[in-house]
Amino acid sequence: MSAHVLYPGCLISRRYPGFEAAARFVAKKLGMELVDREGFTCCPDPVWLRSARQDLWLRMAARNLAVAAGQNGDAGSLVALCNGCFETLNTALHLLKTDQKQREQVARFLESQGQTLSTCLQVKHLVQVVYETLGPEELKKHLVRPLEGLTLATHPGCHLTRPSDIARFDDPLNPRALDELVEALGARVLDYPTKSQCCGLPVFVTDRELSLSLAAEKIRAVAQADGLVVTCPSCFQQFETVQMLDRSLPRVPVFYYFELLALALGADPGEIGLDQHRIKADAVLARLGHAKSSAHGVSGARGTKPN
Amino acid sequence: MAQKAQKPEKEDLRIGVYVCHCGLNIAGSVDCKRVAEYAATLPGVVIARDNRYTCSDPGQELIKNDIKEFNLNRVVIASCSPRLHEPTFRKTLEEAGLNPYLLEMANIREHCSWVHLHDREGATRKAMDLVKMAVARARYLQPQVEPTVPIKQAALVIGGGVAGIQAALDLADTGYQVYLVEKEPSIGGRMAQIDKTFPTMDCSICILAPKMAEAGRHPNITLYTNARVKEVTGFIGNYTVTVHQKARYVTAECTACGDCAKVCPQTAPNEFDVGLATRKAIYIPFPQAVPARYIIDPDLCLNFIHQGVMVCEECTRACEKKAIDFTDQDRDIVLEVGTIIVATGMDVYNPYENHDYGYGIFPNVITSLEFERLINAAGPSGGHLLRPSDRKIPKTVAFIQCVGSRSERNGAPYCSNVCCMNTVKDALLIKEHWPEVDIYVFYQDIRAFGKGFEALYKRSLEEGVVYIRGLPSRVEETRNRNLVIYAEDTLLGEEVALEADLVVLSVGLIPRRDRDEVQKLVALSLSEDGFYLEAHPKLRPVDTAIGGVFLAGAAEGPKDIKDSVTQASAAAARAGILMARGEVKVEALTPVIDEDLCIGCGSCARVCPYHALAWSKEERGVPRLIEASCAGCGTCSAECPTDAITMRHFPDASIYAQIQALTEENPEEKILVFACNWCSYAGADLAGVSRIQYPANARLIRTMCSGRIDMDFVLYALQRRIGMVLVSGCHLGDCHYINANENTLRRVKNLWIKLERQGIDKNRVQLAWFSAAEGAQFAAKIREMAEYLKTLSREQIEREAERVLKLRRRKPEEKLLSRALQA
Amino acid sequence: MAVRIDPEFRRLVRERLRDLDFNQCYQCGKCAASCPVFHRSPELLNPRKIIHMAAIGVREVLTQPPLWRCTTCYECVEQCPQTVNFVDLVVALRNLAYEMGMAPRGVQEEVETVLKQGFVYPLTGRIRQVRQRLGLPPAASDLEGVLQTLREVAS
Repeated sequence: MSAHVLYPGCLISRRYPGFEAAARFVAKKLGMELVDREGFTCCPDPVWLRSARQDLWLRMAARNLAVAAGQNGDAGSLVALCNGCFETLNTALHLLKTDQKQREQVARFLESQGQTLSTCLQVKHLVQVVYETLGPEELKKHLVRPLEGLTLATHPGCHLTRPSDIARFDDPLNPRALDELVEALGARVLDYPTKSQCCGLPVFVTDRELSLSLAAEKIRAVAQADGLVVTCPSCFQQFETVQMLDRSLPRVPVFYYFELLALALGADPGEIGLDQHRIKADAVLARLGHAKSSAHGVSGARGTKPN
Repeated sequence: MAQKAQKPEKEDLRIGVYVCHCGLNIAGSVDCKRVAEYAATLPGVVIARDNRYTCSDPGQELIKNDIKEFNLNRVVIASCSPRLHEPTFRKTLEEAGLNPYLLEMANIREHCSWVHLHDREGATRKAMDLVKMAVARARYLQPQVEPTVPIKQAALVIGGGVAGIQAALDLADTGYQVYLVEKEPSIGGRMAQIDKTFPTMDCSICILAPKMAEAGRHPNITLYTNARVKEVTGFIGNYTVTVHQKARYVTAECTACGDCAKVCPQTAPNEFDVGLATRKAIYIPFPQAVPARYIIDPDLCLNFIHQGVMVCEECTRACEKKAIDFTDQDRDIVLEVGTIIVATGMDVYNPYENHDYGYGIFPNVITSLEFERLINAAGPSGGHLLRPSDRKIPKTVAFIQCVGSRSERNGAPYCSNVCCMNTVKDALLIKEHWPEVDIYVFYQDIRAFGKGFEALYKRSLEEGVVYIRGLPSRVEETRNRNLVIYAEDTLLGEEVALEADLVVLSVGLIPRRDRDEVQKLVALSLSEDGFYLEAHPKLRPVDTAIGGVFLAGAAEGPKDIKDSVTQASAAAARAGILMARGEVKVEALTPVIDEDLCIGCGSCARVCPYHALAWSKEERGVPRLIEASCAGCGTCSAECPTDAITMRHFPDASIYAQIQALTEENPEEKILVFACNWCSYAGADLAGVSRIQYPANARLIRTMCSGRIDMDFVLYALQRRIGMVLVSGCHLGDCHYINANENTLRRVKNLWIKLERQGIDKNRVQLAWFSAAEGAQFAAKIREMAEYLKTLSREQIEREAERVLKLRRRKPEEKLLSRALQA
Repeated sequence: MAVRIDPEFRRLVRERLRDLDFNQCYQCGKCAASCPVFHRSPELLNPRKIIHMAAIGVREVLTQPPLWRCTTCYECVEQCPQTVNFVDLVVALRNLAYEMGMAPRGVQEEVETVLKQGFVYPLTGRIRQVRQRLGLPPAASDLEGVLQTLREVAS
């Protein structure tokens, strides 16, 4: 597989470093080369920074794209680990390609920073890369510890597939890719009606009650599942937060997809920071044969299958 | 020519009865099988069947085979209204070698199954009665030969708007002589006043003017402007028309140079510019006028104001061509035509009377028609959108939709069809010239249903036209003569206020204020909305109920230019078909006078609306029938004191037989309704089509005109103990036989007096007028009478039946009838 | 009190949002029907009304809370029959409100944070340790130069 510039994003690198570790583990196991670049800023936040100062938002995003492109501007693609980063960088790229006036303004800004505007690279989400270059069937071949016996609910997150003309991935109103990727790991996927609905995080800043009620609704909808699988650290944070704040909610451990994929590819939970979760995933890990809070994985043992 | 009335021969009656299911339309509420079984028991019936679709090919084949196999000589079909399929089945009989007049239909759909959807037993019993009545009538039907009349190869087109122009051009191009009559000094109509047309934004006069010019110079078109149709007589293919043309006082020498108007001292508001500009007493309405000839307004010219004393000769002196002729006179022109196309157009709602939204009080509230003139480059402001109060270009313009449309209060309840798109177009016109003007449209629905309409609406959205859903409740004027509009924005659920510099009221289209004039000339019907009624809303949309008379344009209902032109071409084609055929068969409905019975009193000649009975006071002989003039209403027959007049297809005996049949069982529970073919029968049909329910105890007898109804029919029914009788016809003034129904009114009034004198409850006999559009009113009347019937006791009906005997004169037909029934 | 329709404001919105096709809106309500916030309660946010207020020129659209409750989930954008991009409209309106000093406090704080450190989230000592334990490269780098320029652009 070809090389991708890794854009870790600030929420992952500064709050959920385990996700980054999981992603790097997966890339390595799947033979995917990730290139690091020095000097990224926040993507920045596609909701509030863009809502307040679209001009600053676009400049920062353009600068990150330029950093990713590097000196020669020859990077084929940039890989984001977060739906928000994916949206911001992709939307910015789209604007820079289509809006002549904004492109000129941004180009001048970048020149002042000694950088060159680059719109020739592609922005991808790591989930998208795995799905498109490998696919669920091929992925199965790499597994060493399938997640058999688990029932998982998926929350693809809004910005993985929407807006569809920019994301260009999966069905925006009835997303299926994440389900297929989870099924490929050997788990059963729980079908529930509000799957494509928002986690509510974006309005946490302006209407906390509304924000949490949206998340709580989803948690209630997936109560039967052993875990909720997300592709975005913001959604992850929101689903953990609502469970921390509202004790009346059912407990549903939240997983970043690459944590699960890393486990299936043989990673030890401690190696990818699974011990950092606020909603403990120990029961699920135990079913998968991982000892509680183990810093070094126990190999060989399998969890019991539920009846 | 007077001749012996044909009396029913004592012949072997062989009647076939066919009860149609019409799918489930009839069978859904009538037990058709039971009706057919019942029909088989009626005297003279040799075969009775029920089948799914009688009008289908197999259905017709069945009848044809039966006619041959059973040697049938009368056919009764119980199905839909004869107004729909009588021609179909008459043809069936003809194809089987039977005279088409030996058919009788029982209307068990419009008058029965559709109006008694929830009363299967009542509907079935009514259907049985209707079949019984039809069989009884069939016994008295005689073979008839339809006379053929030639059709004159010329057409009259009333109205010179775009519809009239199109119809005239199409007919003229086909090769027929066309007389185009326009009441204004120029043809062109409303379209000439409009600036641009939707949805293509073509310049209106640019596309109309060539057509006007073509109509003006076409060798087959004779143009009468400043003229009105005064009188129309005759019948299909043979109309005599009198046109009254007012004096123009300017001869054909006029070159339209305009020198006269320059010197004329008298000015008045110009009608063409809806009063926004002025004209002189000698004027041409607009530059492209056809004929391109000036005209003197006698109400304004000083010479006429001073009653012919020549006080001013400015124009005469200025005219090099010496085209001014103060001796010009009004004149009448008599035309002979085969067909008539009515293209009289519409009027626009005038918001002045109700001061809608301050119109007429606030200068900057104008109508959409005034707007058309303001934005027109040839208009009073040279195409500059200047608001009236200060002649400044407005910054914010608000349109208010549905002014005079879709309102039960002001104007009309219907949608005027064109105002939405007209406003979209007007808004875009403003945006085209002054893109910085803010435009707000207050509406309740934007109806953009036609080809290219939606795209135009979308374009207006793109251009930034703002649509606010909600009609304003009030408009207030500010000190600088701006207007503050208050409305509920129903999409926000909030009250909104907008300050605008100019308010345009999008006024609706209404029937012409002088529509009665033409309506009465050719006996047109009106639909509920007040526009002229078409013969069938789907299948005969440009025909009228009057043979040889067709509709084009907005006279039939609000419509835009394209639809008007389409309809005009359709009307021209329909008229052309008739004229190309050269002759037409007319129904054999005329009377036959029995010379033996006639006493030469002349009553018949006095009531004949057509003067078709030649009779002289001096000779007092048997009247002579002028066949070509007779329209077959039967008023003469009802009037004859000795029953010497027999209507060919509606003989007295047939009607008595129907009454006898329907009064054989439980007459006290029934209502007998006499209905005329054109209005009230059609109104009852409409009640059926509209599924308006009413009690199942009414039984209809159809005649051509209510004038046919002999009051002895009513008395006979009362004698036979009928519960109630309704005599119905067209509204007074709408009679299809000029004024024959005035005789009905007179006769019923006389009858009421007689009934009262005998102590008979006169409320048991009622009179009502229904137009073809008044199905609901018909049903309501039956309901009302059914309620009254409940208050009558059998004893009263019995008692009054005895008293009726004193009022009846002995009828020869009745003797015949009893003879026939004995046989 | 009647809401004032303000052609001036409408013109401002139209000028600032020139590239957005929100005035193509037919007010069909499909956006509202697909909105998770509207689904919780119509009072919280009705995208249709926001579009309408912007289209007709009602200034209150900027100050009322609903504008700030859109999660930018794009459900409505995917469904709009007239292809109105409601999220782009919301972003543009919020920018306008921010410019006029009408944005909620939390939003203003976030802008300040990003301009100060280049990231929404701070890099704590604990996270540095975890990163180290997981064998990840250090997350910090010197961004003062670019942040300085951005601050200049911002003011």
